[in-house]
Amino acid sequence: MAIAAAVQASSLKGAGRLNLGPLGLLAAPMAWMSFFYLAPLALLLVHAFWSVDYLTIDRTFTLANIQTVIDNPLYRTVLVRTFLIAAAVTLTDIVLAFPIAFYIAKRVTRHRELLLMLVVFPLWSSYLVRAFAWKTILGTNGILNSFLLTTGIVNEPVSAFLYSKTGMYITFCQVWLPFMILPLFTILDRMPSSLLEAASDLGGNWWQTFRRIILPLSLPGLLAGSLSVFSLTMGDYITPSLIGGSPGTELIGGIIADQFGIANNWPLGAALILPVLAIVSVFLLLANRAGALGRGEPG
Amino acid sequence: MNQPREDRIEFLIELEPAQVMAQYRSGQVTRRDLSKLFAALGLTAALGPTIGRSPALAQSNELTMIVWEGYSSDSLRIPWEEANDATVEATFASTGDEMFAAMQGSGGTTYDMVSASSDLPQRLYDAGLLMEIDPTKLTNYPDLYEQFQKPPYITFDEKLFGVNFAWGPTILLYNPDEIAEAPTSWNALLDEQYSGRITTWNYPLQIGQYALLLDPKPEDPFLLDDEQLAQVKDLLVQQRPLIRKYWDLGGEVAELFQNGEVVIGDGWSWITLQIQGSNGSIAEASPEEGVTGWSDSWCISSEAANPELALKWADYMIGPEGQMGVIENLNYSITNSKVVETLPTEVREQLRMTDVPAEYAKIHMWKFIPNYDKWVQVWQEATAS
Repeated sequence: MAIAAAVQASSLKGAGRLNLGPLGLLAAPMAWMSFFYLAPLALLLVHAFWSVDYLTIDRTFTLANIQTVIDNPLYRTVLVRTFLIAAAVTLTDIVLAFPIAFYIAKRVTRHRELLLMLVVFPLWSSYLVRAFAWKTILGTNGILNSFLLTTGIVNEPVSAFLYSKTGMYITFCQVWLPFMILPLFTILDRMPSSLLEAASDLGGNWWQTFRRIILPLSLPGLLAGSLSVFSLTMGDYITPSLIGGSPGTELIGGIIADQFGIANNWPLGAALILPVLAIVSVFLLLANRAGALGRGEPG
Repeated sequence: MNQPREDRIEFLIELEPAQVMAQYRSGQVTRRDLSKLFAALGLTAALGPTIGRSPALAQSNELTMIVWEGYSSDSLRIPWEEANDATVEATFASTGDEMFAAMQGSGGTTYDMVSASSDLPQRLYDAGLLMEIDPTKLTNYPDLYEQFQKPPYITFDEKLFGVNFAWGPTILLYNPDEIAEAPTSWNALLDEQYSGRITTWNYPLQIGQYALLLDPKPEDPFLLDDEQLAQVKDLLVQQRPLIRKYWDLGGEVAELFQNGEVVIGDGWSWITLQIQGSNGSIAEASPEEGVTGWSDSWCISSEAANPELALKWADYMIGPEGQMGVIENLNYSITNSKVVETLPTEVREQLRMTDVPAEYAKIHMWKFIPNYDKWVQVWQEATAS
């Protein structure tokens, strides 16, 4: 999504020159999306109102699954946990990505492509590989603990890095970081440097410049990045299995995956998707209003 | 091989793909011929392995299977592949449920075979995903102990739907460097002195193992009423804070022990072999409350592209080579009486095969669980919240 937003943003200038109408341009992708994405998704969600009888799906309308999702404290606990982790990861990635994106966009004149390449580079390897790499770093006898032990910062290895929420948080922050940096970079790159110079000429300090110029102007990029990082974390179930897996680390993605893969209960799995979809949709609507998807007034 | 080029391609098309590949390997067919052949057969054939199964190639020499880890290890697979000029494409599953989901999700077309444990075939059969097996086509079948020829978990409507080839218990694994005395009870997995260093398999079926700790002990730990399930749930909730990691794949258990993350857990003998193989410290213990276990059969998908080849694999796995491979690679017990008789006494003792029927009966074998949805619910609520 972030990439789409970035591409859309950067191609705005050239779009007017093509003479194809918007319908003509969109027909193929729309057809593709409807057929291969929206239709299956709708079919899946309809399952939420059906029920399962041993091996067959009973297609009589029922609200029982929705009731289960609301009533069972397990799902509430896990949903809240997932939301909090996703929010924490998003905020952290904003803080981490901003200086990097700003530096590449505004301070670097040579080798910018190289730096951008380094940002994208981790995405070339499988997500699974990156999660595994974190296992070797965070383990009880891992790289991080060896470092802490040899430097005398701790006397005993810290076991809380791996198979914990801390470990999941660290992993998520790293693996999704490029999705925050890229849209931020795109928007900061387009921001006229003269604005910053003007702020400085008028006696604004760095904080005033950041708060009143940079932040408002980069809001669309910030939201686009947040949207990606947030929804990627909300739906993930690989990291919880590899880096989590201890009590109290299961996220909603894992619970949903288990409904399909273990319990063979598609209806309940589909019902569990609804709250996740609702949360992400609300975020999407808010972001859209704030202009993250290119309709606002970016600079 | 003096035919003109174009003729040769046509000649090759007529051949079985396995024969073409054999000629290619022996140098009679060049890479260029091969690409021309693929072009002639159409792009799909060339891309078969990546974009899906192309009937032309898959039909005769590729066998796809979804298996427990270890059942497709190189030393088992490669000799058979070479003897049959076939390839085995195996996917690991970490639970029987996963195998079921994979089979059902594709209507049985993705995998020709599944290494189903005793709890699974009933479900596969009910979903219409299994193909009947004609035992007269299996040369090694008469050598199986009688109890493995038509066991109830693979016999439906008096017809055979699996080839039973291996069995064994789920046992306690512990690190003898850290735990001097062998634990004698499953209670060791709930012992606070190992807090934060315990692992257990992340699978609802494990409720059966913990049910062995109930008092009174259920007659069959896989047939539990709601009250007994609630009691097991209490045990699992009590265990929760002590768990380092709920393990998913067997390879993970080895990793957990070797990286010093855990000192005790449940698992299977091949995990022991794996840890010993890399010089790690590991020991097995068989708790006095008894053990749960599994009896694995090769089942063939009702939509299998090549049932004949699947039968050959099943036959191989209950024959001397396959059975010895199961012992050497996995330390599992086997089902072929002739092969058991050739084993040295210590191996027979170690693998519970001095008197197979009696020792087999001592294990609570996984079985089809009628109220399984409740088991899943209990397991999730106890472990995930």
